Amino acid sequence: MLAFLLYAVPVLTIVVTLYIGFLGWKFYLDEVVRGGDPR
Amino acid sequence: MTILDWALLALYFAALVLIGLQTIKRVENSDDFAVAGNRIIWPVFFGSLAAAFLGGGASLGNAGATYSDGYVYMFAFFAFGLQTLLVGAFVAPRLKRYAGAHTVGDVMAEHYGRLARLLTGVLSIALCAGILGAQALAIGTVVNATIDVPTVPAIVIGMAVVVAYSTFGGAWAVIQTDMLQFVILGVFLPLALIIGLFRAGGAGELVANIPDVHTSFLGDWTWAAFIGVFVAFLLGETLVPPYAQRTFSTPDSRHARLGFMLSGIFAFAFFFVTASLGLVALDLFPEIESDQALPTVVMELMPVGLVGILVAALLAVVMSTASSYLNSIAVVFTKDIFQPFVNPNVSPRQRLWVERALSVVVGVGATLFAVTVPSIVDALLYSYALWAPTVIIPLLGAVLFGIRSTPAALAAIFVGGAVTAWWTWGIDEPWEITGLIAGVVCNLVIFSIVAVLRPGGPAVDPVPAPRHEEVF
Repeated sequence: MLAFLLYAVPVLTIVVTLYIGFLGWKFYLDEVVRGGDPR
Repeated sequence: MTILDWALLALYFAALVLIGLQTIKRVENSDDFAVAGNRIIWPVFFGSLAAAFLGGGASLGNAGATYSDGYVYMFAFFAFGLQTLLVGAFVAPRLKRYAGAHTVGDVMAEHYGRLARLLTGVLSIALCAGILGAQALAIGTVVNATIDVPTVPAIVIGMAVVVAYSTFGGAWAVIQTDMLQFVILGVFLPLALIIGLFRAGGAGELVANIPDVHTSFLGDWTWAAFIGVFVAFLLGETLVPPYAQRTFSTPDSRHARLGFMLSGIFAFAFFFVTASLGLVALDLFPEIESDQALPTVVMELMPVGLVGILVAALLAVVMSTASSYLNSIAVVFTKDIFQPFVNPNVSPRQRLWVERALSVVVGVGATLFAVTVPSIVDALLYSYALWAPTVIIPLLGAVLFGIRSTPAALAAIFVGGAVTAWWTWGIDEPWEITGLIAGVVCNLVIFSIVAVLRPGGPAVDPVPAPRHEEVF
């Protein structure tokens, strides 16, 4: 079980991080690079 | 380090500066500087909060402690993830009721008045200054342990970058650089574990080589020691100023709840990864000092190119925490001390420049103290132990139950702080009960009794004038 977790947890962590990073990148483009919605 | 490694490390610093420059135009007023105009959606809140709370302790410290004591330290560290989940579920969404709030002091003032705001502000600044100084020292430690650059120039360069982007871009820059740092640490430290496992002959081989005591739940620890550390992680950093400030930066309670809870779940995985890196170090390098566990794995096992990125990842861990605390000091001082007690008529534009000037002054001060008199950083870190036994119970009483008893909050803050100090440094923590536990218990008892005896209070504070919104 521990041997399985030693591979599964880091792989899952990388996948989640990349997905959140992608959403964060879209937010960065919208809000910072393009200046966001007019307030 | 090869030229490729140095180039990748330089690229990381250049990206931080670029983000800092790009976010300048988003900072037009104090709301932008403190809470990024309340526009931070849940994925960004999740990533930036995780980057802020995953500091040197969660990476270098966790790997080193697991190297010497085993997974028991990680299990105790899980209390932090549990606390983050609970705060995300029950407290963070309610914080969004305090429209216009930037700091914990804003909430305390709304319920308990100006003196509670002042005390919370002073405790917040002492806590943040200690942690900021510790992160500045950690920058030097990471660089010195990995690429053998002397500590002083490493701290100066690292902190100069942190101060530059925090000063100009405020919360926008801190949150966006946190996101970059989150991606770097969330991808490359787990990747380092996978590579380390292969170098150790596979996960099965590693588990077979590690002493059983290192993978058991309690290891060599007693239950009393475990509970002491568990409670410290459970309460010690609850809603410290940067986490509360980050929560205020979300647009509504849904984003606050989702981002906070997901970052708590992520913390469990990250703690497992860094703890397991400690076990890889124990298997392959059994003769090193425990605090060298993570740097040794990075420098000895990683291929060319990855070393530079992993040094950047370790720096990302400490720099993201440093910038969050630096930004909080500037915002807390301005909102909880300068505006209410020094210049109530300060304009929003002036407030922004006060916050920027403070970022520079505090950043330079923290760097100087870290370089010349690290004992001052050590002294400030004592304030870390005072946060939970003073502010947390009154804060939870306010946010969860709407309590407005000023005498209860003030008595609890004074008694909790005094008992913690006396228990820790006066009688040296008898019966393996930590000062934090003794202080929190006394704080809770005093707060409950006084709140029942004196339930209401004239909790009026015109700065800011919070507009309550019903969000549930």
